[in-house]
Amino acid sequence: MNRQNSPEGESLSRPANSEQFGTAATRGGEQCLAASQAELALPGMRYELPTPVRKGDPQPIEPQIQALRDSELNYRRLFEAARDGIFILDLQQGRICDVNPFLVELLEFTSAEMIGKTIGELSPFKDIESNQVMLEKLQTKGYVRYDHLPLETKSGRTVDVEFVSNVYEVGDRKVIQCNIRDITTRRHAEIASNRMAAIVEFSEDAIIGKDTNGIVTSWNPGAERIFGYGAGEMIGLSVMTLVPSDRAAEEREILETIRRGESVKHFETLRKTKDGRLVDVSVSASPIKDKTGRIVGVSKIVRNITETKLNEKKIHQLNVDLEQRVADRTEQLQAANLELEAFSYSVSHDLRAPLRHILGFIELLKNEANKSLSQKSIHLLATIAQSAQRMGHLIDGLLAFARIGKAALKKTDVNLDRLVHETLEDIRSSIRDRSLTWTLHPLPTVWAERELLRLVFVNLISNAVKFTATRNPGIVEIGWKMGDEAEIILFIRDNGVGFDSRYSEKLFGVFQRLHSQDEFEGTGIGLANVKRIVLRHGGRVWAESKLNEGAVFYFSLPTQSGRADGI
Amino acid sequence: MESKHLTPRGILLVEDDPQDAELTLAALEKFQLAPWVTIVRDGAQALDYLQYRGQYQGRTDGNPILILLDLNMPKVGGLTVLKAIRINSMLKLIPTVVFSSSRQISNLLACYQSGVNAFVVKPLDFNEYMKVVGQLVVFWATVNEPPPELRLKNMD
Repeated sequence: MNRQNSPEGESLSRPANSEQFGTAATRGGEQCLAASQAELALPGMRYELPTPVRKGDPQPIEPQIQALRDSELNYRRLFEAARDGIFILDLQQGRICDVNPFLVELLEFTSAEMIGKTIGELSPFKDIESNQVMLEKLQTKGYVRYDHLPLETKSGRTVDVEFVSNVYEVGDRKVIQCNIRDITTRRHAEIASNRMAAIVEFSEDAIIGKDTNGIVTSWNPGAERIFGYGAGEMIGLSVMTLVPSDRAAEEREILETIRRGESVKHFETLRKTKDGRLVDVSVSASPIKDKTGRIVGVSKIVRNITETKLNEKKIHQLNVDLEQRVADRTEQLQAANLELEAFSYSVSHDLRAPLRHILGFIELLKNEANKSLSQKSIHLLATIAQSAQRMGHLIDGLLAFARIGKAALKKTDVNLDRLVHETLEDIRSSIRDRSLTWTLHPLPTVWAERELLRLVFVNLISNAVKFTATRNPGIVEIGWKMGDEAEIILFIRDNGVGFDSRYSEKLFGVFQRLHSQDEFEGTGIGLANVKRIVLRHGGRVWAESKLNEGAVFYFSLPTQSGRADGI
Repeated sequence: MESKHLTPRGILLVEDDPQDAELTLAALEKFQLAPWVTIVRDGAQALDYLQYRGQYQGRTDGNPILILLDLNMPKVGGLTVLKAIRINSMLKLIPTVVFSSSRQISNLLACYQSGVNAFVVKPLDFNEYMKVVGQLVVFWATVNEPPPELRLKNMD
């Protein structure tokens, strides 16, 4: 671009005002036309007048200049007010001569920062083709277009623009005008719309649009797959095409619901495919409203639930099978239990007779040989008798144990205070010569079978008494507390010899003992009975102890509201 | 032979277990009643005895004044014998005491329903056993008033 050092050029470099304009006009020669012209920092830039006024022309200059001025003002206003960005560039070097306010606002650079640079020198445009290439395109083709150009503004914000560049001839000069349209919002909307479209396109479910009369307006690939109709076939047809004849009323009801502005959610039903098959589906439908809230259509999602239904059936069948197996197993268990009880019972009975005989014949022998028996012989006989008696106790214990399982529990309200006192009465003879301290806290009334509960107390109290034999005094405490889960916990505490809690598992086993016969006699079946009885009442039984520091035996019973009958 | 010509006498012990029989006999011996005891080994024999059948066809004495009846016996059990006795007009008034090793409730009920006079469980301890046998027999033989035509001769 030639820079002419002319007086006009010099005056052009100053900001325009009407005086300037006037000054230029009075200079004659070529005029600078628009106020904006003065903003062109490039000296020598001129506009050609549409009707050139030659020097010395006798025509009056003022009206023409006025018309020009008005015209320029109009165009200037457009330039200033445009809601698109406009660059004016010179063609030779592609330098920016002018920038409109919209662009200043959009790119966040001042016009001073932009004027004089090439577009490529502006940081938002740094990634587009080099200036050279663009210029060449413009020079050869006359235009450049970028449909979608992401730009980074001064503050780092990204905007999407449409960029169109054209070359204009103005007299013998050519200028480049770049129009930049902010399409960010449009772009975002496009992207969102594409996403929505993708969702519909790729959904496995049928997504169907209907009008308020049930005519299909849109039909996604999911619908094609489920029903077998292509979109071309279904659009325009009534949705009744899919409804089995005996369910026609359903669609009417769905439309009615939609018309009222309500939605249908997960309605399970059957629909018909193109090849006449019935398929299990779940239908959800919602009204489509326009901006005024008027219902203009129906959005429907139809899910193929054939597999779900199959799974439901499978689960149901599995449950039925399971129930059956549980029932069978329970029956087996009950039968086994009965057998076991019958076994224990008959064994105990059958064992009694020979036992009776042993004892009887020992006596007869003793009577028979009374005088001629040595001390030793008498002792031997006594030992035999003792063993037989012990066997008798064991059998009795077993019998009691077997008996517990047999009959159904006959539960009543049992006053535990009274029961404990009765038990103490019962064992009075065995504690006559003992020094014992009893701490008896008031006890509640429980729902249980009295006789069995008595057995529990007899057992536990007798044990407490027995194992405190070496203590003077033996201290036995009986009390209760509320349990966590609707149960009453009773405890019997003693200051006796205790037991090794490492073996507490064995404590409640049948015939299990944690002390030898020499230490304390016993059958080892008492606690097994206690456990059995408590379990049958739906309770639990456990014990805590430290060797030589006494023991506490706990058992729980469910409260009335949490009655459990156990087995 | 008709029993009405024969005076009732003796105790019939129906017991299959030889040891139990021996023990009971030993107990009865203590009360000097051993000579009056006839032992039969099962229910069938008991009924034969009472009805003068089979090996007891030629029996010459009358009804026993007391039947001690064990329950668990092979072939014909005690309960069957009891029932048979109670429907027989010749036999139904004979005092019958079930003397059993077990106290099964079902047995107890059945026996009482069939008209047993007493139900006694054989104690394990022999001294107890002796005492019970003594009490039983003494009661039925001497304390109890037997039904009219049964009167034991030669027992005093």
